[in-house]
Amino acid sequence: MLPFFADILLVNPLILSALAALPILWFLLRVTPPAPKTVDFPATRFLDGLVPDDVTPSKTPWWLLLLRLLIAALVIFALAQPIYNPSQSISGTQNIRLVINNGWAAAQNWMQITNTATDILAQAERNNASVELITTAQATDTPEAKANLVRVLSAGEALSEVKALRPRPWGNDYAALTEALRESGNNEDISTIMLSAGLAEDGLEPFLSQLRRRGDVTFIRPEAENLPIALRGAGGFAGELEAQILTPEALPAGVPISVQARTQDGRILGSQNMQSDGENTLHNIVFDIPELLTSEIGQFSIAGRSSAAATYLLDERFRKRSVGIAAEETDTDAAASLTESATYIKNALEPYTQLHFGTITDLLRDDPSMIILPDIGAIPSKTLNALEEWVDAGGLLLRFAGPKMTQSLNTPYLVPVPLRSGGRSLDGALSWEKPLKIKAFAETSPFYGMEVPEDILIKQQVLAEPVQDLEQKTWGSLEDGTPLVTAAQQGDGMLVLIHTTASPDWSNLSLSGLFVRMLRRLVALSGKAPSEVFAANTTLDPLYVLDGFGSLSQPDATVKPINTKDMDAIKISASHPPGIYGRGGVQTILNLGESFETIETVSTLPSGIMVKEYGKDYELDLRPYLLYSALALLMIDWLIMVILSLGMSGLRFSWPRRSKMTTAAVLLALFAITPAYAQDDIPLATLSAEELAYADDLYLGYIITGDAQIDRITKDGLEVMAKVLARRTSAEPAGVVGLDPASKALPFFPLLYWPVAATAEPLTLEAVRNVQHYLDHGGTILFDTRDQNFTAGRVGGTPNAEALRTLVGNLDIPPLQAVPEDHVLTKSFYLLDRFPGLYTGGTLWVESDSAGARDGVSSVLIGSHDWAGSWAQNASNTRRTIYGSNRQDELSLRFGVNLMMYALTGNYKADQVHVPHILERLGQ
Amino acid sequence: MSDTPTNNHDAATGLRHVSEEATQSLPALRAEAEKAVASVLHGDHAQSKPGMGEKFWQYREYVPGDRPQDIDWRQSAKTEHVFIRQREWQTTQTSILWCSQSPSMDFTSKSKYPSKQEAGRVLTLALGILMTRAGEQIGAFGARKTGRSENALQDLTLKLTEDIRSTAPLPDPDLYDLPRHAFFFQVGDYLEPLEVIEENFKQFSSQSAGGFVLQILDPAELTLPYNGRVLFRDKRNSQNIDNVASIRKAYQERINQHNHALHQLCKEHHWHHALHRTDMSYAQTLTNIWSIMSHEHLGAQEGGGA
Repeated sequence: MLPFFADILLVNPLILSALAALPILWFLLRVTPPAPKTVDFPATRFLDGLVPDDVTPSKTPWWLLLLRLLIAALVIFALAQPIYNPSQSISGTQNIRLVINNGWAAAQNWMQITNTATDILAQAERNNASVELITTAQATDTPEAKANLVRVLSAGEALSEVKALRPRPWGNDYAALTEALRESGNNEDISTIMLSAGLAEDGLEPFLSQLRRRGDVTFIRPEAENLPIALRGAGGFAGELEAQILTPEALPAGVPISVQARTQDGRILGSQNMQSDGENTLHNIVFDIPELLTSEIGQFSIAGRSSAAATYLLDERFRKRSVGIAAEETDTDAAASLTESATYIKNALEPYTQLHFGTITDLLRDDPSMIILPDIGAIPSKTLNALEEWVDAGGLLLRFAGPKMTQSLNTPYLVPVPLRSGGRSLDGALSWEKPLKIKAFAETSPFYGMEVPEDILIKQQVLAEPVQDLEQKTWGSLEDGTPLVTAAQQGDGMLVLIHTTASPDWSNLSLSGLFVRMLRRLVALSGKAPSEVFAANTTLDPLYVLDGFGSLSQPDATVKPINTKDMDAIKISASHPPGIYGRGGVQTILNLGESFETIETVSTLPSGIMVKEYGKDYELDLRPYLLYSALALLMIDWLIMVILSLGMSGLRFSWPRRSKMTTAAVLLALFAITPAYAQDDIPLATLSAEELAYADDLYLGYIITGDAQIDRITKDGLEVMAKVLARRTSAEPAGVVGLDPASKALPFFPLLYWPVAATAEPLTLEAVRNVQHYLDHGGTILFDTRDQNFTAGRVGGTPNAEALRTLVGNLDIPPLQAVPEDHVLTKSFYLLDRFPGLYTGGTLWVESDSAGARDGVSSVLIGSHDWAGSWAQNASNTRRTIYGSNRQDELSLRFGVNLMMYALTGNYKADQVHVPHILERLGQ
Repeated sequence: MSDTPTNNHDAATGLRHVSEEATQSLPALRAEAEKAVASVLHGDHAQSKPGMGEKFWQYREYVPGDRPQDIDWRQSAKTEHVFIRQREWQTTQTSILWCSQSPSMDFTSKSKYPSKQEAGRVLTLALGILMTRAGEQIGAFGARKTGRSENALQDLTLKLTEDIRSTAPLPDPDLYDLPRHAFFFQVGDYLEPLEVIEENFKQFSSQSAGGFVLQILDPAELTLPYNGRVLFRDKRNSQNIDNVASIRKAYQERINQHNHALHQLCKEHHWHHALHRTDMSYAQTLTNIWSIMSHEHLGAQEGGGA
């Protein structure tokens, strides 16, 4: 506990004086007890005069009191703003000097370095200190940059400076810094913190000594497992890819390292994991990547340690080459049969390269990296000249021997070595010699290292003249020393001859895997930039450069071109950052990892320098934790209070009931405010206030036909009906409303009276939809064709019936039937056996099978008795509105009452309530 | 007593309402009482002794002084002796039952216990049932009529639930004169000061031919099972006790002392006293009471015969 508290810094230590108030709080909490429970107790009288023994009774349990004091203490501590593990190095002096490593090695620990720097600067800011900021790797090699190595800034400025700081892909220049420090001549006492990448570079010790002169120095370095790692090189060729990892000696065993093979644009093609063993500093990782993909590999990088050194760029050697396979000028369908050499070459190379077939002339036009001539006889001299020019310009010409070559050897043209005329048969009927095996490849050969299978036998070959430099030109030979592969430089290009056929005629080499490997290695050779293979004096411009984190980017103006002569001597610096340099199709790579043999890390430092490691020196603001725990304790306290008040209560536990009721009330309220939509899809907003008022009372509705006379009669009739209803029944219509079929207010009317005029137009689409909606949602419409007087003796429909047909043609009206004798309409108020209007004798049609959902009320009634006309007759005579002027009028009014009752009450009267009465009537 | 005038004008309707509400609980109350009775009373409560009842009890030889009309001639004709037909003794004692309706009776300390009021009603009614079964006349305190029929029980039941206006903790002697030689059975919590109770008892002991005081208390009233700081209050007093635990013993002593004094007081008036805790079963209490009462009746008979 104690060391922990030693590491805590209080920003506002004065607040802690509030802790002195805690005993007062203790006292207050004890003397002001919680409100007593109230108990209705009939025997209270007996308590009179009983004095509790305990003067300071257990009002608040001590542990609860302690809990509350703890909460108070936590809050006080939180207000004091404690910081765990503050950057204590600067607690003494005001001003500090901060040295930040930002060389390539820093990138792998950049987060730690910048976090630590931020912590330190934040602390300096609190102290109002100024900061001498030194970054060890310079952005440029310019003298101005060097003059500006040490900058004195305010902590805030330094903070933003650090935030903008990026690691550089080159090393630290301690010599220049030491020089600059020495020259400054400032001897003021200042403590220094050096945020190091852990790398022991040239000039570090003098630099540290220089720092030491002005005060104590704290040297912070990464933990051992975070020491920088580099990719030193990637060797091998297609199919045998390997990357070489360089680790510092101090790296402990068991640190996982994952190397990724990526394309130039960063796609991951494969990755390989290993662990450091703590002994070797050089590790090879072999990649198992589909060979088809190998040509796409642009770089290797170490996962999780992005830095320029952990990125290894691959050059052109890994690119896909185009290879031309020449056919006889006379024979164009060459790649056909198994006996043809081209078939074997094609099969060996096809997956890895881009193959072209054609005559030499054709191939030269494509300008491939490599042209293969399988045993080709005489070549026209013009073609030969062109071919020679191509080779001189850097092409690789691979030739295979064969019968045709032996025949035309009198013109030993474009071969690496002079050849003897005629072949050498090792396995002929006339030969004593046995077929020979291939000798292991010499170290000088590009095929060196390839395993030579035992079963490859060469039966026939062409022999080279034993010339002076034959041995240097020989890349492979047979057991007896006769050359199998010879090569020679020609101009910028190369001539390679394999002294046997590419078909199995002379040997089974072409059937072996060795053949494939040899060809592919030759293909790889073909792409080598001539300048690299054969040093030339050109200047290469920077094309892409790596930044400190190992990503490729466009070079800026300070990056200088490189002369190929100096390539090996180049020291990677701000002027020559790692990257891709090239000119005119020639490219070369400058890799940081190749520029050093080992990674030296700091092991011993001059005395008097305090060494620390990152990650163990972070600041932690304890305030939120304290406040959170105070809050948590407060919740616990509250919980305890609830439990206490429940558990200690001797009385009936009554509040849950109340709360239940409250909950119910709240729920009820919630339900109450949930709007209840009577009609789910009527947008009420589209209705006017007047229309909305129809919902408040019972109105009789009719559809306006447009014929003024009909409309007037209908209105009068319905007004009479309204009076009759009010007089005779409990239904008291508030008025009569004429409606347009398209009116959105239709649903407010239980019944619509729809007189049909002969002139009725078909409904508009909107009206159809509206009326259909009305019918589908419980509405009832009485269609009255008002033409019973016309029907007598007529065949077919009356004009009004026709009009009705056009009117409702688009409506979905269920099947209708004539009103049955026992229909509800006959007894819904009055007992009726017919339904006369102005006319009588017609049929009233109702829905034959009313849906149960609408309470058995037919959605449509169709008749022809002109009821409105009959009702309207009584309009002028108010006295007679109570009773019809004659029996038919009266029956007509009664029908209206029945109809309204039917629409309002549904099948209420369909049950057996009136059966006895009806039976009695029937009995009479 | 439902026709007792009241100053509260609204009370009439309110009372009606309350009594109707209460009547709804009557069957439950009755059932509860019957249940308690069933465990006490097996069969008719015949008293197995000669007396004034209707039923034949025994024959005995005529001795001078017996009423001639008691001679059973038929039986006497069979033998040489003259026999007197003795009938079973049948009590004609009247019991008046009273159950306190004081607000303090509404107390219960735990929801699983019935309130004192409920316990009192059930026990009173159960006793009423027992008594009518035994052929005794019962009547509610304040009722005009007594009887041994179902009607009397109904009246008692109604009285127990309906008469919410007499909330006095003790029966009011001014309200009702006990019938002569009536047995007075009273139920309440008797937490009043002893002097008040004594004063009250005096009024009745002169009127009654015996009495039974059934004291009903909640367990909490006996043990004071509270802790910490509690404000106790009843209708008149309130007591703020800072540490209930520390006075628990003293309280228990006090209440026990009170109960003991009450017991003594009852003895002085030749009344019985029993304590029913609401956590006890009705049957247990009822059995106790009934055995005491039977004994009392026996004693009364002997006393009456003497």
